[in-house]
Amino acid sequence: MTLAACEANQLYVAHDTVIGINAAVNTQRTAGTLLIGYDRDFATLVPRSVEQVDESGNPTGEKDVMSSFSCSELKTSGIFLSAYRERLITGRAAEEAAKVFGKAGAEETRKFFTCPAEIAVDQPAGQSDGS
Amino acid sequence: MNDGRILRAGLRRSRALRLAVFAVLTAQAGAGCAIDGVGAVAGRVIHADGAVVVRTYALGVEARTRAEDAGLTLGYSARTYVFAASEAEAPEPGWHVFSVPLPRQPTVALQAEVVGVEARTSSREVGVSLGYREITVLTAVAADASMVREFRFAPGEPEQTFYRSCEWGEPCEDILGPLHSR
Repeated sequence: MTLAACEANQLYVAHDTVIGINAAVNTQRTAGTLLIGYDRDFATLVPRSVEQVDESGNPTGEKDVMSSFSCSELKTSGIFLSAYRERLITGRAAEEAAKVFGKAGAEETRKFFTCPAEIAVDQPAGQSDGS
Repeated sequence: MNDGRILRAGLRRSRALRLAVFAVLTAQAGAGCAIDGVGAVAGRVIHADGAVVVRTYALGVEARTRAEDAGLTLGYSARTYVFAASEAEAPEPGWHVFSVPLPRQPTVALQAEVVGVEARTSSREVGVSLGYREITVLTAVAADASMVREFRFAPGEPEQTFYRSCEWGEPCEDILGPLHSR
């Protein structure tokens, strides 16, 4: 996916299926793809260079990978996306959540990040799940 | 080998290419054009739990100017836009024909299925496709966002869509549960 070729300024989770011909470039024109045939991608793109802030919210001048906690579950039916579930915490909230989860203990943290499929989707044999 | 023989040879080999050509010709024979949900387009608005889901169906030429989804499609296009209910101007639920109301806010999630030819000039990518293409952007959160969110989505069952989001510091009991009070 061309999304994955650029320096991300957003956290992306995406699913892409092509049957035919697809040509694309990212918006910075730094990378492109040409596909003839069949291709399918599942992508999670995490920004790698995010300006850090201190507890007062003032920039520190440093950059680091985006902080995030995430639990995602994706179900497919053949080549089609059938269901998706996600819990996500990002940025300063993720840093504070890490402290909360540390005090809460493993069991409560595990419960928060369990992703049961609450959307019941009928799946014929041979389906795939991804977490 | 002239161009006509090359094209005929390609059509014989590629089922996807034949399908795309069929879709384009069918679209030309029986369809019209639409721009940003107005024109030869039908759509359905669904009020879900914390989300407004808008599905649009277009056959023919469809032009879109939304930054995240800009482009031009020639063929069949089915798109699902998911908006946060707390932010969106909630359009009237139900089926709409010739004019499908699309809130102006950015989407929480976006799914697009195209059979035919599509040229894309969105804020995320620039490209061209011929054949079948499906792309679903399920999460798009700014790198400097500090937020908590829960999202559930099934394209075949839009009524079951669930969305909650809060900035850190706001009440987040819906998502964090007992962890919120710690």
